[in-house]
Amino acid sequence: MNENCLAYILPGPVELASLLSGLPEKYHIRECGISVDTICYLDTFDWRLNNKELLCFRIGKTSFVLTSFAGEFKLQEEGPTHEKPLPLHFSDGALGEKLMTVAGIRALLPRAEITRKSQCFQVMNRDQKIVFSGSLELNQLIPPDNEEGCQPVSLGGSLRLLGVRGYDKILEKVTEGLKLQGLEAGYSEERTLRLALTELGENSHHYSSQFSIILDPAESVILAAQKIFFQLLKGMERNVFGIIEDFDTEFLHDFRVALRRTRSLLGSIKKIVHPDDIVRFQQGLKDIGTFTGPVRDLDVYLLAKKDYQSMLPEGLQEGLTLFFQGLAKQRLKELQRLRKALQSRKFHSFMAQWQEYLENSILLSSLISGQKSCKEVASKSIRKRLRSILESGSQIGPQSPDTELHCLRIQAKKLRYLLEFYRSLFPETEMDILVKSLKKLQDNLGNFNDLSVQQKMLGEYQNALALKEQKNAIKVAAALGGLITHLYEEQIDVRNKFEQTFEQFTTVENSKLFTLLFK
Amino acid sequence: MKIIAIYSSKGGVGKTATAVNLSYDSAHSGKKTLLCDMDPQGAAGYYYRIRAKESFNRKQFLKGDLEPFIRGTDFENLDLLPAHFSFRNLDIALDDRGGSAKELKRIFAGLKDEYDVLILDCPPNITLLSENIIMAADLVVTPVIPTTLSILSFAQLIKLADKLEVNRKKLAAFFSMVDKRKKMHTDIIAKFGKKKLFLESEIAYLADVEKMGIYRQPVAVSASASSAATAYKQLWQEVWRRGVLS
Ligand SMILES: Nc1ncnc2c1ncn2[C@@H]1O[C@H](COP(=O)(O)OP(=O)(O)OP(=O)(O)O)[C@@H](O)[C@H]1O
Ligand SMILES: [Mg+2]
Repeated sequence: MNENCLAYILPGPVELASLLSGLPEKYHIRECGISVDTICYLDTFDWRLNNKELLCFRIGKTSFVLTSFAGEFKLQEEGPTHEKPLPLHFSDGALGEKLMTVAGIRALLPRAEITRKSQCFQVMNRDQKIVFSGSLELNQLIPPDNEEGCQPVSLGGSLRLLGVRGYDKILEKVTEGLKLQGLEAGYSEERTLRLALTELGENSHHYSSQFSIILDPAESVILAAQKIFFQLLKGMERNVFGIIEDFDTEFLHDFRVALRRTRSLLGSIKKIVHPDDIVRFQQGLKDIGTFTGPVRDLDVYLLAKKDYQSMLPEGLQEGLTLFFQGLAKQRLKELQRLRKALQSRKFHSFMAQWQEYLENSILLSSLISGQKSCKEVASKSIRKRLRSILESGSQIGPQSPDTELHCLRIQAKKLRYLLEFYRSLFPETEMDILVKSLKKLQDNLGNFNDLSVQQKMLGEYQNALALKEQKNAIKVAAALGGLITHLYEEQIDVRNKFEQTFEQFTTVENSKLFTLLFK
Repeated sequence: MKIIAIYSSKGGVGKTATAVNLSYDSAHSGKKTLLCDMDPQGAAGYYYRIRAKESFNRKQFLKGDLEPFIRGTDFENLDLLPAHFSFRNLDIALDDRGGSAKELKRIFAGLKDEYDVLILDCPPNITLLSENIIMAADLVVTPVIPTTLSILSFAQLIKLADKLEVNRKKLAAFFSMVDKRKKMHTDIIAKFGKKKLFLESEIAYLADVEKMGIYRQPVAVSASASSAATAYKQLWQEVWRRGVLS
């Protein structure tokens, strides 16, 4: 048999015999049984597979297929039993590896579920020799909430034909007949997914964790702020369910990024809206930041488990494992608290108030400078922020205290947010260059900060252990000691690279760009 | 690509039964396999229910233009090049082309990218075609019924190989249609079975092999749990090992 496979699109249920009615008399069809499978299409919350033109589905409980839209490659492997698996749950095969590179730490969530009824058949000549074979498939969407009385929706199906080498003529005849019946080749799994998503009223472009907003340079800054706040609010709301269900750690991360951006923007419009409003919401947002913090902090350590393991020699690994077991337990506790907070009346009413304010009051509470064009305000804020970064940065020398680096990091972050909010107001290529170069500086500052936070946290954990005198405390403390030493050395490295990184940020080219863009 | 010829100058020794079953086992083990029916009787094609295309003839065969005439069997990885009645005079045709013993090798060379294994089901002759087959093959496998006459025809093959200056290591025999109740069978096996050119595997005289003519399928399909299926599978493994090492 060869790989000469054709797949026709069937609009709805059809009889095989009528599809193949053009078959000459000396051939006959042998039907080889019907199978019914449940097929569940999976993708991450932010459609990472779809964005890379990949498709993943589960057949039955644990058989997984990963293929490209065009079908040039197809991997099929047994996978985990999890309903919403993470790439790391897959074993080391090619499929798991590919999922890991594309989906990363995001869970694969069921996006649509169908049943597929397939009937295999063979067409034989007088010698009972198979001259081609195929299958007739019919797809039905399973309604998501399984409501009673909800009829499954037909998504059409496919007729697949598999030719046998040296028996092309008969297949040609059959395909001509199909053409006459108005059937089109070109069925794909992707097509069925799209039909299913349309039925479900979803599409694969609803969500991206990347912030992007198109602003009109002439519109008032208060209008622009309203739009940005709105998008950030949606960004937070969209992630709440995933945090509570704990599908993966990115929900909380994205939620907190949107939250920080909101706080940063709110802090930067002091002359634009009434200060009382700012104070009122700043506090509420800060509270949310506080109660979402502990789980995120623990996630950061748990996600870095492999890195930590590679920092320590064999002898200290056991203590490290115990340490991580402790963290996982602690995370569970913190997660319960977080869930409660996110479902609390206080949180809901704050979010409702914030939304209400954005919808109805923000424009009314605008001060006079809120009416300035957003481009003017954006340029000015960016210029100001930039100037202060250049000033503080250039004063940092090898002897400067760590706190100065921390301050610079926060300023750089604020600049980054401004560049992102107002990206659409400036030429794209130039903005890309600046953001990229700023990102390098931020990475250095961020690493430096992370390393000191980690040392501090590990040290505190160590101290707490000493007080509790648990039975494995010595092993864990030794592992932590090893980590702290390692992190300390790494931090010195990062610190030594600061001057050079900062110089690369303040090149003549960049300065020219800055003046040109934000004059 | 390894070319394995199933050859004997004697008729009715089980060549076709061997070629049909070994090609199935080869394909089943994952090797892309082509069974070439070199016998104008077309028995191998019969077992796989494949007829030659009418347009297929000797001329194209000699040109090495085989591609368009290969047909897929009902089994994965296994194709068949059907015989054609015009193969009857393949000998004469080869002779016309200058009588070289290396023609067949050239003809099959074009298939080397597509197939891992070529199995030739040969007609029972000693002719120029036989010489071509021996030259083209990486391994010549001969079924030997444990009778004096069969042993003689194997001796004949060895002589031919020597004449063609082909390494004897390229030859392998196995006992075919063995009936352990027959004294002559056990005697001959005892006498020759230990010789280097003999494989350890044997194929007994089995009803399941005879019935292949009715079912028109390899025994591994029509009688998958039978001792015949097991015996051919074992024989294939041994043949393949020899083929790789030869
Ligand atoms: N091991 C076996 N047990 C029983 N019958 C067998 C066995 N091997 C072959 N036969 C039967 O013996 C007959 C001859 O076998 P086969 O056609 O394989 O021999 P051959 O060497 O190819 O003959 P030819 O020289 O005519 O091509 C066939 O009817 C076949 O079914
Ligand atoms: Mg034969």
